[in-house]
Amino acid sequence: VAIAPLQASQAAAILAFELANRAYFAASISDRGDDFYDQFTERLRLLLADQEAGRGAYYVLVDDDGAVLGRFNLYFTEDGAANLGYRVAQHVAGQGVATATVRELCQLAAARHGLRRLLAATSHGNTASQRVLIKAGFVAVGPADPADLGGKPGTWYQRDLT
Amino acid sequence: MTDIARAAVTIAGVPALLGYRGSPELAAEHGTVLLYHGFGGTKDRMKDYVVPLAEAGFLTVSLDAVGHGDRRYPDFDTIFNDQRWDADFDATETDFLQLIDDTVAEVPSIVDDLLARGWARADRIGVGGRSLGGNVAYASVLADRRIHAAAAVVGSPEWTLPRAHSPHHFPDRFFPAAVLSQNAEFDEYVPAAPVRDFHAVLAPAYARAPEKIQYLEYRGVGHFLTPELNRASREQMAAWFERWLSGSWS
Repeated sequence: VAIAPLQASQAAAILAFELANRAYFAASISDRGDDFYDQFTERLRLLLADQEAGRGAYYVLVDDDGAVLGRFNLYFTEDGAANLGYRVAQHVAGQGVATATVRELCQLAAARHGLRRLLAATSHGNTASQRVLIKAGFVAVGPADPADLGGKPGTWYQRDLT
Repeated sequence: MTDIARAAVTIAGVPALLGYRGSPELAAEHGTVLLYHGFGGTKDRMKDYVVPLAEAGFLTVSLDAVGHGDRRYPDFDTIFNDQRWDADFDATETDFLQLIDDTVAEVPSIVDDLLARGWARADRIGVGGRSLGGNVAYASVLADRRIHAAAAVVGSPEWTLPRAHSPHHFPDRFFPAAVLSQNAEFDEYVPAAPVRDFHAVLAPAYARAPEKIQYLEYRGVGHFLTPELNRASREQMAAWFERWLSGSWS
């Protein structure tokens, strides 16, 4: 299992990951909608362009066979900060995969991208994500706007990387 | 004591019992204290802690830990029993630590909900607990920046199995929260030594405000203390929150 930057060559594996876990994701975070899957190739191209332009850093967790186990995205905001978003496949949930990867990503964020602070929002009902963030050293700093969480109330978490 | 009101509520989906004088909103102006019971207990078991805190003017929020009280696991006694602990300590203890982690993970949602209802001020929130609840109190400081004071009675910041996220690994992340630890010299469940050591490593981070950490050890007693020492520990907890949450210190 390894974390690697998002690449165009991973398109089929990522789409397979998204489709296989769509219902699982929709239970805790907002569903991406049919358009996301119908226009996946174009969306991936835009994401890669974003990454190329330095607006974010997008990572994929893959197993030894190249199957995607999770996606971990850093959306650069301002002043050395980024918003973290992630999703992990149902069949590896609850095994510490997300926690370990978020910890690794925190190191990458500082060392590779020069970030000093990460923020992540999670809905109140998403206890698995709350556990992951706290175990990875994030601390709750205040309520999140439901508009940022598909209409669900939630909390912002922050981790200082310096 | 008779003028302390109690109300059963649900906060962020968690069964809770409020204790206060006047109204929850008025008491929250003084400060809000989340209270967590020990292993196998319930929110109702914290009533002895509620009295001195509510009398001091705080809004107390006693909560059922995950798997306890109104949401006790149906198979609680199968998961947690002496035989299983003896036969497979690591697996049973892992389940026990999971209870703590899951309970701590709820704290930010609870704080958000309390703030939204006007039952807390972001600068006057504390967490107190006994035994398992004491562990929750330590971890809550790391989980939520809005926790300004913690008071643990016979609890520990050091998880009983090696865990990277065990709070004792992060002494530099506790400041500026005020941390009171009360432990028993001969505690057979939660040894005092690691807590004593933890306060020693906390000290450098609190060099600017050493009065914000305090370690009290009750000599010659075990985990359950004595009635007199239990009363003393509750009064110490109330005094701690009075000092660091009510604003009288500033």
